[in-house]
Amino acid sequence: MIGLLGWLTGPPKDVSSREEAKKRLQLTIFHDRMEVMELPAERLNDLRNELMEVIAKYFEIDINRTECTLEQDDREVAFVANIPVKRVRAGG
Amino acid sequence: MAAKTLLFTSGKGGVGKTTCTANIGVALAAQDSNMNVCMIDMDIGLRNLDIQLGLENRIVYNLVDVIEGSCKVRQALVKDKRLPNLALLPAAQTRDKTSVSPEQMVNLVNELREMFDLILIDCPAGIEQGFHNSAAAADEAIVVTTAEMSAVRDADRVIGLLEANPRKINSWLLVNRLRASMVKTHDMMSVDDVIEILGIKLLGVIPEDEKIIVSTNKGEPLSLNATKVIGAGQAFRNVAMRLTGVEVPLMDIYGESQNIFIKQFNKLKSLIKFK
Ligand SMILES: Nc1ncnc2c1ncn2[C@@H]1O[C@H](COP(=O)(O)OP(=O)(O)OP(=O)(O)O)[C@@H](O)[C@H]1O
Ligand SMILES: [Mg+2]
Repeated sequence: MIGLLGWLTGPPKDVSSREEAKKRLQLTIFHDRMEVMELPAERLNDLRNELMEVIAKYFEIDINRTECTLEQDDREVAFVANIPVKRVRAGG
Repeated sequence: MAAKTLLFTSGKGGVGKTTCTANIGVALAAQDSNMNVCMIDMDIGLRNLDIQLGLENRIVYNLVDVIEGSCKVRQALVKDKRLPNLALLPAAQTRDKTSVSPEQMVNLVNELREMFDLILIDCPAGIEQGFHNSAAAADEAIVVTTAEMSAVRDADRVIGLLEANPRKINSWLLVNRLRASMVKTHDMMSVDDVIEILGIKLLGVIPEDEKIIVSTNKGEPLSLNATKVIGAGQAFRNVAMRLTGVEVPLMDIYGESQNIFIKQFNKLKSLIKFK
């Protein structure tokens, strides 16, 4: 049955080299730009502080345990923030 | 009004800066005999614009001679006999990029601005002194790239440097050596892919064209021969027209949606302001 399905759907299609080039390039350029902007060190910290200010309007948060990182898999880069919430602020 | 200065740059070497400068300069001068065009070869030590234009035997003085005060700028300019409104300021061949400073370039170009309607600068490869000297005098940049990974990556770097310049130099994208057949079979990035990655406005697309080798052999830029309406020669003339504000659609050389271009095109106003 698996064999038949395999036959019906054909061999796994290779990602075109054009698509591959585009993805690799997008990622490379992302890293190049970060390096140029010196994002990892200072800028990322600024971003974290600004973000905290906004979030603190809505939640009481545990500043000391927040974590902000850039995570990457082969398809994309994500800005990941882990912000422990102590409680929701009363709506004003 | 003083002439505008356009910089042809790329970061990566060998992607076609000199070829594009020569062909677009010739096309601009041929298109309007009232427009005086000056091309500056900034590739000091490795000059080639003279050869592409077929003017190599007529060079007496060069850019470094002018900057060092050995001659007047008029004495160093080589006039093109085919197009009396076109001139070349050749690079020195026996010197290097450090023989000129950005301030000296600004002063030299300011002098040329009063003599011409448009100045094109052929930038050397790299992002070192030769690039900084060239960028110092530029109003706008035309970033030449092929649809290959390393060329696009280096183009992004150059665009970033131009943006970071205190004068925030604006970049236009010129995709060179596009192979439509490879884009169609998904073996090469398309123009749309390159635009998406670099995020700048498209000025034109030049196809891969082997006639460029023959035209360089003869010292006659392809765009000079207006009878050929296909291939790179026509693509160069189209770019020249867009630079003067004429709306010319892309040639159908990459067999893809032209939507992106049309969107960009509404924003493309004349880069060159005449006197
Ligand atoms: N559209 C094209 N089709 C075919 N060949 C091309 C095209 N554009 C440029 N070339 C070829 O590519 C080579 C490099 O071109 P060119 O000298 O213009 O590049 P460059 O960017 O000025 O190089 P450098 O960085 O050394 O100054 C030349 O041999 C030229 O003939
Ligand atoms: Mg060159």
